Amino acid sequence: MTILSVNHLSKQYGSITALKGVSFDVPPGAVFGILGPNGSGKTTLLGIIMGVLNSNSGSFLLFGEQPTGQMRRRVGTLLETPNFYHYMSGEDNLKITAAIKGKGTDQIDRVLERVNLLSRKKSPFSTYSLGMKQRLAIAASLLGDPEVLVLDEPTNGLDPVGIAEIRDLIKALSREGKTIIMASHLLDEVEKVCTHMAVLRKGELLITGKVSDILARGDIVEVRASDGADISAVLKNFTGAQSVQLQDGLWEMTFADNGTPLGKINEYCFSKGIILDHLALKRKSLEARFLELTKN
Amino acid sequence: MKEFIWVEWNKVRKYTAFWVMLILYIVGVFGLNFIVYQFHKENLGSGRPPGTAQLFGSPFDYPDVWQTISWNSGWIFPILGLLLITLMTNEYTFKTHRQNVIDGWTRDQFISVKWLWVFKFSGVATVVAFLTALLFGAMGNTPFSASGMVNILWVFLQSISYMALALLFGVLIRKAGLAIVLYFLYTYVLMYMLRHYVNEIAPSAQVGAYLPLTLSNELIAFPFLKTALKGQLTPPPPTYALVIGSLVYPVLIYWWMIAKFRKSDL
Repeated sequence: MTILSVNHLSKQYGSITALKGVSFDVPPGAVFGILGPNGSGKTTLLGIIMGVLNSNSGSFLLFGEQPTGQMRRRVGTLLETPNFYHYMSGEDNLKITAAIKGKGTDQIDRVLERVNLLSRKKSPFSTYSLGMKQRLAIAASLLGDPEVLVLDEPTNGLDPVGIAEIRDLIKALSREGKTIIMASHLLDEVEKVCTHMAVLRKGELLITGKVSDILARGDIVEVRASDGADISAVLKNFTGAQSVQLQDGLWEMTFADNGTPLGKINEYCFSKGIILDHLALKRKSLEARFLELTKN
Repeated sequence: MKEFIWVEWNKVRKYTAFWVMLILYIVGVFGLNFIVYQFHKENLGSGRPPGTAQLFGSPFDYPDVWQTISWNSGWIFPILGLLLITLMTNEYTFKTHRQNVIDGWTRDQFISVKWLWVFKFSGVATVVAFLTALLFGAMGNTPFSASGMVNILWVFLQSISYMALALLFGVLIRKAGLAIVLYFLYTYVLMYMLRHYVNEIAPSAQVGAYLPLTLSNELIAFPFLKTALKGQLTPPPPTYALVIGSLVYPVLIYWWMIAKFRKSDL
């Protein structure tokens, strides 16, 4: 059973198409990153899944069934911005969340401690910093020990230490067997914590699958001649090389497929009278892959 | 149901503006009645030409006090309406209407929970009117009489119409300031203008009496100058029609809100 199955979901805002027939599945236990530039439809997609936006067409199944309010109680959600009553304390706000989710208030201290907010639980929400508001929203999403977490830009407003903490928290929750669906435009964030991903651009799904599979599509080989000479013309003639460009003093050869034989490159260069002092297979970064996917 | 009441109670428990406005309402009902009571006592009491007292009657004595207090209370309902608009538009301001749905309430449940405030505030209006009538009745010159106490029930029905309309304004307009201004404008000015012009179009049918709010207002007759005005005023529609109408309008408003909330992006 998939945790979430999205089928041809579309959403229009007047003449603007926010989502165009998006389909994908989220397997149980995955940390599923929804990636895309600003305005690509990430929040709209999560808004539809969490019942606050209506789709124009398409459908989705949550826990293999038609979504209901009761099912949303099994999902911890941080959508867009932390939404709380400003005149109430963090603790009182969480009491409301717990009551709506049909859970007791005994977990409140535990979840506040998990996001380092326990000492400020009595302070009014209006006195919280942006980072603290974000932490409170994450604490609220953890109430009731939900099976699934939906986090929209969870590190928004956090300082570097806070970002690292939330990243560790997500990894820890994943190890506990929870499924995490996370929208982000921070590629580094997704690359570090996600097992699966979907890339959106202007409401269209460009690619979806395991992060390792998506990144593994095509090799990048770093090459440098011992004398530091410009060898780009020679490298471009190597079979399978799609492009060659200088990057930080190294020539980067891009290949469409995986499994590029480094030995063959060395042999080829040697046959052309070039001695190499650097030859390495570089894992394609998510950033490179993302730009490759979204540039058109 | 218990969960809904608990959640809504916790939303207002520490909300200062809620308590301030509620107290203002109670003070407003008492204050308005006191002003009218004092005016009546000082200007229409002893020392006036013979027949004045008979002409103006004894609106603060039993049994008329039930009708007088109930009728006067209607002028203060908009304060409760303002409070209800504030509670509703706060949800939009803080985006907590989205969060409540995300956390597990259905859209219908969210609106129904807010609708509970219509009944709660109507209950408050009824109790305040009842206690105020007892207080002023006790200051009068006649012994207690339950005759005319049905007006307190009409306060409940009338208040439901006012609160339902306030909630509708909050749901549709979303912005507190604009919703409050339009609500006050309608309840104090536009409603009367509308009634007047509708009646002008068809004087014999008196359709203006059947408009939202004007219909429930008709339940409580004008309590002053009863002798002088006897036979002068257009008779109101039959009570059963007013009661049915006072129930039908809020039901229609409820379904409108449900339909609107289901269809909208939150």
